[in-house]
Formats: sequence, C-alpha cells, structure tokens
Amino acid sequence: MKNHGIEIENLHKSFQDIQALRSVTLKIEKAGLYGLIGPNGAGKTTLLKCVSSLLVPTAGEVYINGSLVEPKNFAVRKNIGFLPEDSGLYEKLTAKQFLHIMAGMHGIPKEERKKKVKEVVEFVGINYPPSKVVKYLSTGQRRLLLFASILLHDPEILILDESLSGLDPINREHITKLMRKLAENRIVLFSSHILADIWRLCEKIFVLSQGELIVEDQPENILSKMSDDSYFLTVTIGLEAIKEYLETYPKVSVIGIQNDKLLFKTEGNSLISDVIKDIMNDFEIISFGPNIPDLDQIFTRMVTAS
Amino acid sequence: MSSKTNPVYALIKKEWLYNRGRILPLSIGLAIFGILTVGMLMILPDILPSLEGLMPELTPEMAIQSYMSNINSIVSIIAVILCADAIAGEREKNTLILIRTKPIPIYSIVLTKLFARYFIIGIGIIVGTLFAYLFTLWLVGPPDILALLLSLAVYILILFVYISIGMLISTIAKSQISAGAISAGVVLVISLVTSFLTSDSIINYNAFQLSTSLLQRSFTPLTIALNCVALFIIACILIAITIILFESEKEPVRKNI
Repeated sequence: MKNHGIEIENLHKSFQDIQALRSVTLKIEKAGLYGLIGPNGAGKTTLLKCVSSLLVPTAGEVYINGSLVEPKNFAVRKNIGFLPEDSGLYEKLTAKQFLHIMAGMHGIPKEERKKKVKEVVEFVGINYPPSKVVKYLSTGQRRLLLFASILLHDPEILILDESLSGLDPINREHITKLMRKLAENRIVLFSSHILADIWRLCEKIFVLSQGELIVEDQPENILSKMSDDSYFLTVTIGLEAIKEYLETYPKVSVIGIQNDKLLFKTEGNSLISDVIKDIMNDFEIISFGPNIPDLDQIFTRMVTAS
Repeated sequence: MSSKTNPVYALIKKEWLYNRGRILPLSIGLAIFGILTVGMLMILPDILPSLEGLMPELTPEMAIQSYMSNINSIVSIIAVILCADAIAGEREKNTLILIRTKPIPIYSIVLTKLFARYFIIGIGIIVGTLFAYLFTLWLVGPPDILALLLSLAVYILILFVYISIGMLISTIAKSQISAGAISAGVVLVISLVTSFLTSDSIINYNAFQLSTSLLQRSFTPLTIALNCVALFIIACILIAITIILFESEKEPVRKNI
C-alpha cells in the first residue's frame, strides 16, 4: 500500500520520437501548495496529465492516495480535481446548467447537486447571474466557472495547469486566495509560467527541464543555493570609475555592470565593510547590498545548470 | 447520505440540452421533404408533359416507395453529418477533456452520443414519414400502412448502421468538418453502390436497400429477419471498433502538449 497523496515513480512518457518525461520521481504527502515550473516544452502539462489519468505513461507509475493511476481506475478520478490549461466549455449551456452537469458527471446525486453548486459558487465567488450563457462569459468568468466545476466533488487533490495564466491581476489575486484556502486541507499542485506566483505561494517547488525533474526544494532553499555571495552598488555618476577602482583593489573581483548596478565579489565577507568605506570616501553611493538574483535569473541558472 | 447517481445520466442530459435544438428544424425539414416527394410526383407530369406517357399512373405505393428511396440516401447523409460533432467536434473545441476527467467509461460516452443522435434523427424521420403518409392519403389514396411501417422499421435499422459509421469516423477524424465530409462520402458510396444491386440474385442480400425493396416486391419473413440481423451485427461491430479506437487513444489531448 502506497502513502497518502501523490507518488510518482520513475515516470517516462514519449510521444513517438519525443521524450516528454524522463524518469520523473516525486512524492507529495501533506496538504499544501506545490509549484511546478519549467521552460516551455519541459513536460509540465504532460506530467500533470499523467497524474490526472488523461495520459498513459510509457513507463513508470503514478499513485494517488495509494491507488495506481490508469484510465480505467475511476476511483482515482474521484479524488482528483483537474483544471486543464485551455479546456473549452459547453458554450450553449448556462453557467448553472454547466455546473449541474459537471456535478452529475461526478456522480453527485440530484438532490445534493443544488446545494453543492450553491456552496461552490459562493466559495469561488461567481458573481454573475447563473442563467448567463457560457459563451457570453469573459475569460476570467470562464476560468472561475471551470475552477468551480473541479471543486464540486470535493477532491482531495487539485491539479491546476496554468491556472493563473491569461487572467487580469484582480482575478489572479482572487484565484490565488482560493488556492491558498484550498491548500489548507488539500494537496494543490499547480504549474505556472509566472515565477513570482509560484515563489510566493508554494511551500515546495519542482523544476522540470527537458522532461527531467532537476530541482525539488523549498523556495528559500533554492534562493540561498542560487545566491553567489556577490554584492551590488549603485551610484549617481561614475559607475565605470568605481569599476576601474575596484579592479585594482586587492581581494576584490568585479563581475561587471548589469542594469546600472556594479556587481562584485570579495574574498571573505569581513572585507566588504572596508571596501565600501573606501569607495564612499571618493564616490557617492546610492545603494548597496548583497546581490540576490531575481527569479528569472534563478530559473535561468537552474535550467542552464541542468 | 444518498448514494451516488450514475454519471452517464448527466452526460445524457448534456447531449439532450445540446442537441434538442436540432429536433424541430430536422422534423420540419423532413416533413417538408415528405410533402415535396409526394407533391413532386403529382405535379411532375404537369410540369413536364413529355413525361406523361412514360410515367405510369401514380399509386399510393409508388409515392411511399419514392419517399423511402429518397430518405434512404438523403436522410442517411444528414444523419452522419449530425454525428460529426459527437467526438471530433468535442475534440476540436477542447471539451472532450471535461468528460474524460470524469468517472465515465468510454463505451458509455460513445453509446450516449450515438443514441442521442439516433433519437433526434429518428423523431425527424417519423415526422417526415407521417407527413408523407398523410399527403399520399390526401392526394393519391390510402397506402399499405403495414408495408410502410415495416419499411420504416427496416430503414431505422439501416440508419443505426449509418450512425455507427458516422460515430466511427468522428472518432478517428481530426476535425468536425473532415468527419462530416468523409462520413457523407462513405454513405453516398454505399447508397450508390447498393442502389445498383437490384438483380434477383442479389436483392435478397442487399440489406442497405431493403427498406425500399420491401415496397416493390415480397420477401419471406426469414429473408427480412436475416437482413435485419446482418444490419444489427454490422452496427454492433462498428460501435465496438469505435469504442476500441476511442479507448486506445492514449493521447486524447495530444494537440495541447
């Protein structure tokens, strides 16, 4: 018997001659928000679809709450709420009809459906009339409707593929709040291109590159691992002059100028205060501090390193 | 806590909500078709006086036979075109994923979609035949109601085969338009080829023209039964192939990857 949650063992998935996933192994046991990032074509959607039983792995296994995920194992589907990236909706139906039909397709009895739909609509915050026909809904409204539809059967695991993409900041923040709330007692695994979202929301991040899981860690650990003990400083004028000055300074190596910032490293952290004092004698510094790479830089470094 | 209901009911409801709008136009269209078929036979000698000597006098049986012959080709094509959206259309609109993430077996998806379309077209044909019958009764005379009902029943079975063909092509086609075009082409070929197989030695085995042939000549009950069983088996085989192909589609959402 496998553990509670999601367990992926040595997963491979190929499409003809393209290997989309290579030996992916990961385990998520406790409730929380988990992020999946990777460049385009890294295999994020393929991985999420394998977990949701929409794709059959070429090799390896996926377990949800101890049950093997396979297309005919319907018990697994009852535990999963999968929000596809670009799923269509039944355009001719009203929002209410759509939710009732989705609830029915999950086997929710007719007498419970009305209550369940009402609960989910309130939770998700659908504020347009339920009689509105789906084809007249905006992108944000459609996303909320789809989001509501995957909560109807109260799944223990939520798989969200690019759930925040294409949304305006207000809707993004709204769905983010919902995800946080849902993650209090559920596993929420989501992929996003927006690194800042993943970084601020997730307690653990999985980085995929060319079908391989290259990093699996907490955001703060990744950040500290990716920091290179360098410093930055900015000045009003004379950045080139400081650069030349520091190049002659013993035990200091200049990395270069990036976006009006001079980046440099010292041999040992104790030296930094002396270096700054000396610079301040001759130049006017605006800002100074440890050079923490931005998310894009971290992401690029991780992928490049792999 | 009440027990869970069968998810297929929700799928049936979705198919009903989505397809019910087709019933009225189809029924009206086939009613007009029924009226026109009989009406045209009535006025043809007046429009083209040169045909007067060539055409035998119009009988109720001739009118009904002409109607059955026409629906055998035209309605069958309409039927398969209506099936094109069943799988290919949903795949194209990316809504198939909504069903495939639910605990619904593939065979239930295929059968629900098939019977939803069968039901809608069936209603249209019954309405069309009713109008053809009433118009014949009014303008020409009373046709043999039993022969008409038997012919209609056989045609509904033939339609089952055509709809199965439509479903199969919808499963393998890349788009709704290509599914409709290919299905229409296949039905047209079957209709044309079987309409020429009318010699005495073959007619007893020409199941696809049985609904028309029944109004022209007499068949033994055994021959009718054998043809019906053959049609039913062909439809079942086609449905089984559709289910297998749909099930073996390991990448149901491949285009998004």
